[in-house]
Amino acid sequence: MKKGFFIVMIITLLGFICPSIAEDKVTITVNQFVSHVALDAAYNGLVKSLEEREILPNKVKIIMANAQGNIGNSAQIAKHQASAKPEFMVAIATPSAQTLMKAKTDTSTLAFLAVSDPEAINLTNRADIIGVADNPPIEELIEKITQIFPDIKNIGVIFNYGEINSIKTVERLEKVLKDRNIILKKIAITNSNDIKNAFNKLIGEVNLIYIPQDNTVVSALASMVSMSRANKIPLIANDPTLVDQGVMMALGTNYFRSGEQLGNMIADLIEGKKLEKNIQNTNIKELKINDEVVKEFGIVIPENIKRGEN
Amino acid sequence: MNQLQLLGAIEIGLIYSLVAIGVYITFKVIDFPDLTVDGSFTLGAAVSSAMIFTGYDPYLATIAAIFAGSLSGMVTGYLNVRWEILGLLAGILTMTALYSVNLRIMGRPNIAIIDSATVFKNWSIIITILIVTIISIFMLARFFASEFGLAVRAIGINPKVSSAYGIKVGLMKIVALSISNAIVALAGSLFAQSQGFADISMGMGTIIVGLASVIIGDALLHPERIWVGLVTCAVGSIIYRIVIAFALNAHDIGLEASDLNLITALLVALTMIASKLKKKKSVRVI
Repeated sequence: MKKGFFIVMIITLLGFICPSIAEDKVTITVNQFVSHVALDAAYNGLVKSLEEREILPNKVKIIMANAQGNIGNSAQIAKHQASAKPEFMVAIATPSAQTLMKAKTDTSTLAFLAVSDPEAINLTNRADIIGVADNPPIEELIEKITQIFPDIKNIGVIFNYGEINSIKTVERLEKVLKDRNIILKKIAITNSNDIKNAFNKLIGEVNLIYIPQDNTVVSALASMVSMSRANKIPLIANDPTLVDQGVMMALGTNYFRSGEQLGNMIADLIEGKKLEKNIQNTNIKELKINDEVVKEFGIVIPENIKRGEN
Repeated sequence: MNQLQLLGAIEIGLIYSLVAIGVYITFKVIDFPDLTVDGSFTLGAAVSSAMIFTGYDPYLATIAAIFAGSLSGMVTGYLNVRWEILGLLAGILTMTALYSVNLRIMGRPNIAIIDSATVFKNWSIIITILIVTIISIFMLARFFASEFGLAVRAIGINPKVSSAYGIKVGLMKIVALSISNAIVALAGSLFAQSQGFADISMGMGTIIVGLASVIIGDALLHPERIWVGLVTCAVGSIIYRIVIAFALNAHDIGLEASDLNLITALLVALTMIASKLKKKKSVRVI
């Protein structure tokens, strides 16, 4: 027992001794909640834009931490990073933004990425909060879809009702479709194993399926794509990166671009420029069509839409 | 690591020490592998956040969270005792069901209460949680020293003999599970209030953190008396957080952020090996 206490003491003391290395650079900390394709892309976009602006690695130091999906880790990382009083604290995904908001001191600026509803979590216009919100351009996507399929009647959507971004997206989608007299068939799932059942329920009921920016659904995209091909039900989405994996068409921004946009905002602030808006929407929209799928399904894409593709 | 980082680690460690105590009661005291914890942690957070968000008093909200947690423990116990569902499975069932229940309670996957008054309005977070932890340990130690508490402990050591002595094994199991999950829910509630939000996914991995803390504390201090065992949980939980703080500083020596879990696991293993060195006596590990 004495020995145990001795080890406890040593560990605690070590904690005080190890100093963190101080440097004469602007420090940017990153608190990413979990690793997956979209969130990693956001981080990579951030780094790339800072490199392109030639402030990384000469003027800026990035300290990256990944909570690996654990909320306790996320809270600790937030406190840990805040203690160094960095100039910018980047949060990737909603829970990270919330733990950072609590932990950060007034001298740090909170910069968020991959948060779809900043207002709902009190990330509002404040001088020390900047960020890129990702509101998917659903109206524009559906507009394009009705041009390709003029007599479309039913659209299906599979989403996880435990993800706030999905719920928001599905609500908006439903409203947009209602205005056009298209019926939305919603199937809620709780984990990616339910995808197959959910898809089966939609076969014969819908003309195409919309994929929201939903972590659960996107992680099971491969099985969605194979079922889509087998049953000739095209998939559409708002994330262009999904098109390469077999989604027929997507219109929107991707997280890499959001990351770049935030990186440029941070670079502007470091260079002493003012921001137009502290919380911005993603400004680059990209239309991407999977030609292989279009050919396989025998879909005719009108010329004007093809020309809009970039 | 600087002082603030250490304080941050201690603060999170103290909150999770309540989880560790909950896990200790089920895994160690009554020898029941209870996985309800992942759900009841979120349940505590969900109940108190939803109530605080609608304008209830934070103290009332915290007490409601404790009751909700104890109820969830009872459900697991009931499934196991009355219908003889395997303990592991009973916990998993309750945990799975709680995901939907928590969504119902919150009405959406994430509630922000960052601008609302919480139980931390008077004192700093670390002091408040320290007080709560000390009171919890004191009360539990008293409880487990009482006749009733001793009966609860007896079923973990030898259920057959306990039963022969007239102890209602099933009832004791349900009582222990309900106390355990009440404390875990309290931890969830305090966590949500200290961080200013509740999220549906926040319970993920709670059981692992709790179990790791119990094992670390156990390996370092070899508790024999129950109150030492409870204190050990808190010590283990804080050590676990200090270890993570070290892991977070690993970028100074060129490690990647994604290595966090690996480094943590290695450091925990090292801590346990260190405690075993030169030690002849065998240690009971879960």
